[in-house]
Amino acid sequence: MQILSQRAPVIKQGLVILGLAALAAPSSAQGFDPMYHLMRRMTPGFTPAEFDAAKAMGFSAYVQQQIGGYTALLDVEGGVAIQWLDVFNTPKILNDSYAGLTTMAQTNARTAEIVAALKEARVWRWLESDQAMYERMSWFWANHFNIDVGKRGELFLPWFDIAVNRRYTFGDFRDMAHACAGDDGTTLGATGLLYYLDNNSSNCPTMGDPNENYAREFMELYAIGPDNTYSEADVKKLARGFSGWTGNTTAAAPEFLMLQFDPNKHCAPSGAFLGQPISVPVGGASIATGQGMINTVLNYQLPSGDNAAASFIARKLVAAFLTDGEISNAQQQAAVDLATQDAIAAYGPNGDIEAMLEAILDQTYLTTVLTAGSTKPAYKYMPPWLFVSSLLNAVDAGVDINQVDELTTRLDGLGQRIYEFGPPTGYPEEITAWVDNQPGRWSFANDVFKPTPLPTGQTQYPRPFSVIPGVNVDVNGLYNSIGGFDRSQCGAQAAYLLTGGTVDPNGIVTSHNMDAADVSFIQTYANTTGLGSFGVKWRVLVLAAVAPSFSLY
Amino acid sequence: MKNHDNNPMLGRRRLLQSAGIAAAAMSMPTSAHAMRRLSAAPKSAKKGPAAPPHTLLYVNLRGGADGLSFIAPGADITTALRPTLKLSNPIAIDGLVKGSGYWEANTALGTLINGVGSAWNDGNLAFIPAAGLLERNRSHFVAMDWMEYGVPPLQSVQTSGLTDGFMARHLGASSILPAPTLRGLVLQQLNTTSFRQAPISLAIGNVQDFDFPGGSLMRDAVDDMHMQPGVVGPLSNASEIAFRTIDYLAPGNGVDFNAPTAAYPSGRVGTQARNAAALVLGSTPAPEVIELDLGNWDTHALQGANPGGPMFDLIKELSDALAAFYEDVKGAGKLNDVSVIVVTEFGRRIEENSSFGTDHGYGSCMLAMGGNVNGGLVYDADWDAAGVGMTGGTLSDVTNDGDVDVLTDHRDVFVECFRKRLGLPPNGEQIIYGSGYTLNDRGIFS
Repeated sequence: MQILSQRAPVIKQGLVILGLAALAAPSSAQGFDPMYHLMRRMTPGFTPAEFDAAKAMGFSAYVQQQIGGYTALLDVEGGVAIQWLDVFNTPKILNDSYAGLTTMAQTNARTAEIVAALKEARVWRWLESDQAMYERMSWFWANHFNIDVGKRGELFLPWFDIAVNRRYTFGDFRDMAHACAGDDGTTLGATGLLYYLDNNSSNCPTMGDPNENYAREFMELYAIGPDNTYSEADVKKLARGFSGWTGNTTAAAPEFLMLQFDPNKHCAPSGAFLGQPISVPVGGASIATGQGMINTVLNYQLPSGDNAAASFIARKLVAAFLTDGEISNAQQQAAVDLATQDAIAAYGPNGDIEAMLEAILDQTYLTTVLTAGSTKPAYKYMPPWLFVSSLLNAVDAGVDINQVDELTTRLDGLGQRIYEFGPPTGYPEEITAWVDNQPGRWSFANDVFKPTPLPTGQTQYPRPFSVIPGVNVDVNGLYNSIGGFDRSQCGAQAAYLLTGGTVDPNGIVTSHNMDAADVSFIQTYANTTGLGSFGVKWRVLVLAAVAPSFSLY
Repeated sequence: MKNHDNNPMLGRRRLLQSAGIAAAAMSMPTSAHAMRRLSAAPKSAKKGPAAPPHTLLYVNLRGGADGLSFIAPGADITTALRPTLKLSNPIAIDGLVKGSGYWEANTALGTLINGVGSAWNDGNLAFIPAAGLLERNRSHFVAMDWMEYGVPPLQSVQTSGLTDGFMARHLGASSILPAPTLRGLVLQQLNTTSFRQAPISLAIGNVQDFDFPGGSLMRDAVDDMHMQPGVVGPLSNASEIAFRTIDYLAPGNGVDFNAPTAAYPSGRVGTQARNAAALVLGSTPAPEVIELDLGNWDTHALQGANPGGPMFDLIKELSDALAAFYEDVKGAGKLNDVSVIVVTEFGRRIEENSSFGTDHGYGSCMLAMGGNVNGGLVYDADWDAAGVGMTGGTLSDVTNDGDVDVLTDHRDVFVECFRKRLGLPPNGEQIIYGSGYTLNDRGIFS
């Protein structure tokens, strides 16, 4: 592991300087299980069995397995894509799926079907995929290159999600930055962003100046961030460099919307761009001008000397996978700063995403942001999708593949309409953005553990559980795991069931990963409520699911 | 079954209510941050007398709306600059200085402008052209942060220590009596930076369906679990406020969602405007500020300002929703209890681009509406003072990146409303925007 050997001296120096040495040993944090918190960052939730397996593997080995050992879900290059709907297999098939539809109603229904399938495919994988971090990370990219399917995205987003977000998940950012305009030298033709951000309609010089949308967002949102070290003139020059870039089918690749260059819609830039001379090939208008400018962006140095793209992507990854929570002491800040520095160093010449993630997902850093000092842990807060998938995975829920729409509808109601978010920044994760809609989470948890009525004629267990159609939660088994008629173990058992831990041979919970105050509250509730056994178990499970320490991670 | 009222674990909220101090508690900011800010406020900015109930509908057009598609100085806009965006068959309206018919309004605004009893003809609607964020920044997200934090975005966190939104600081420094149950409301699931850390405020996607069906036992248990010592502030605050709000919005408690009877446009904008009207028409005080965000104003391509075009449809939907809101509020005799401010993070370039759209610019157009608005006018005094209101000289001689200038600081419009209608004490604006800000009172609100 080259990057580990590179960053070791940096960590050691930082720990000594900033007094973090004691935290290098994770066992110093009483009751803190770094593996549990690592999995909360790397997975869309996990079953008890997955947690046990990961613990047996160990922290670093699990990181390696999830990041370095992944295998592509499917052979994208060969055109075999997500086996959800056949129309996802290639852009052309997707487009052709509209063939023969003669009315607007038919077309709209087809679009709705594609959008629904796209959403369901994502949710399904959060619940069923063995490659947890792959699903988590590809969703990170789906937000980074956010496309609202409502802007005709049904025609290009399914393929973009495969050919960019899923293809380069752990690859090189330099490839990804080219690929998001279909410029990665493959036959995948992921030109969706050129449509989404209007570059395809730019018609310069015939109709005026080039459209600046893609150029501006490429720098600000995708590559180097809104740091104001570049100028409006730079934006305009890049827009000229991208003028004439569109996507269309070709004779050689009739099924893909390949990146095309129309010299008649191109206005060549001139002078300097980001302080570097613009290279315009002999002969004038050429796609090579824009390609060279992408590389200029990716090579751009900040005044600090850091590569701008490395700094931008590193900070986003640290926020997503280490913490975006409120920093309340110097040790937490030091861990965040060191993780960022390590990730910048790991970026390398081409943006090695795998190495950056390995640098950030470090046991010392994670332990520090969550345990250092006497002040608050720098928690993250689960956005709705992560709450739903974490809860369902924790109870090993089975989901009927034909009824995943029940869950996407629930997520819509919680404010997270998958692939339907307008701002190109993608969904936020900060607690202040999401915390107001707790009643929606409480209701979801209530329904997950709420038993359905007994079928007609049936008077005792077993019976179907959970009132959410298509969600098969073994509530009967969960109820049986809690307390029996001895309520003294209710709190710990509910915490154990949802957050992992250990039990002794007698089934007594010896450790769990829920906050002690939450567990104490649940236990006191169980001890004092006047409800019968059946009612208290339902409510104890709901309380565990909505406990602050379940949504904070 | 044991009566949960006897459960010693439960009932902090009920204790407050039974002790008769709930109303007092509701009027106070609950976040520690807000408390700190109040205690740190300069002496001259102490809370003044509480204002009577009033609601500001704060409409934020996300994406950078093209102000010249709302109203334009028609004589100066040349087809050379806007061949597909020149307003067709516009409505002639008056400027404060430029006088009769100088300004041309998009016909999409007809429901607000035309006819007896419209907001414009009642003198309750004003347009403020060349308005916006003073600092030129063409990034959506930097400009929005700048407006919503009320200070430069990097400064907000790293230098000043300010992490709350401008509406949060306004609510923290002002007071209304009787205090509403919910002081701030964002009509969507995601909270906005404007209301970040705001006291007694929530973001709710559907106020008609904001509930927790777990029953009173579960409700009290969930409530009390979140009120335990040590629970992080945002979770604890939001939980407490959520339960109060569930009560406030419950049928029979003063809000009748069938009360608005005007014709709202179908879709989210109309629905949320109707919901806002229902809150205002309720028998209990409505939130002091209600934010309604509208997206899709980032019109880089095929902008279409005239009938059949996307921008026309956006403006018409906004106009129809605000006109219906106005009709309902007016019908209930509550025009003087309501103000509306429409704002966007920046305007767009004067000259259209080769995609028949417009790229990111600078100044845009703001709207103010309500019984206390000195309306029926375009506030073009500064426009006139600056010559023509466009950076660089004339509309057809555009330099300096071809933008509409910013001649009215958006903060002035908000602070006028805060000071005159929403209980912000004298100098309270410096709590919101810092000591370097001074109100330029244009007399838009009375």
